[in-house]
Amino acid sequence: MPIEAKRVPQYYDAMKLNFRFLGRFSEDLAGIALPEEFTEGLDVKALRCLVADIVPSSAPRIQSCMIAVNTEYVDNNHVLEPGDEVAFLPPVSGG
Amino acid sequence: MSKKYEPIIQITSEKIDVSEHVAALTKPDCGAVLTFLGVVRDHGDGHAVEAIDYSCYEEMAAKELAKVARVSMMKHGVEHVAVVHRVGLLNVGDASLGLVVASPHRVEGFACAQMLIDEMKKTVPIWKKEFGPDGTNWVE
Repeated sequence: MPIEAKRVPQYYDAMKLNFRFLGRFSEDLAGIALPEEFTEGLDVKALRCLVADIVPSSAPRIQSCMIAVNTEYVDNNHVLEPGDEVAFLPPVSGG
Repeated sequence: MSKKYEPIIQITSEKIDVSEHVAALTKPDCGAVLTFLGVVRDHGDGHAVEAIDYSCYEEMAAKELAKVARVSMMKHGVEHVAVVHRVGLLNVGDASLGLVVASPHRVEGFACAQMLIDEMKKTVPIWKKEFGPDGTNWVE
């Protein structure tokens, strides 16, 4: 009976993410060149740093904004999964 | 009988008219029916405003608004709430937010309305971009 190797995620495995930039970010971060793939195990804090490095002019806002993953607010320790929708949300101002 | 906290939530690009909700939420056991309209005013933080463009994270805004409404209703024991938020370009005088709260007595109704509006301004993913003679301004 053939032995089927079980695929265990390695640190170098890649994943795709979907991004949403809302509010002022829809203008400030429109068209930025993000990587097509990200390392599995990436957390929100690391992603913030990665995006902030790409857009230094928005770095303070990126580091302090709220982040939602699949339409739920998450904190910096949240680990991203393949296919997640990651939304960058500047301070809200409805009403 | 246990209370139910199921708010009516709408995110719309249409003009807000709360009369339908007032009619629906006016119940025999409610002695207070409060309505609130948040309206675009002609000035912001020291500058003139001619219009505001409201945008939202559609997939999330209604869900977050419902969460805030439920917490406010539970906190104050209010069972009948409708919240309507408009998106798109609104002119001065246009209503951006419509709120209807019906409760047995006015005290819990006012408290629920106050809490709901305060909390929604913290978490519901809706944004304002002001337009005026001095240019544009994202409100944060």
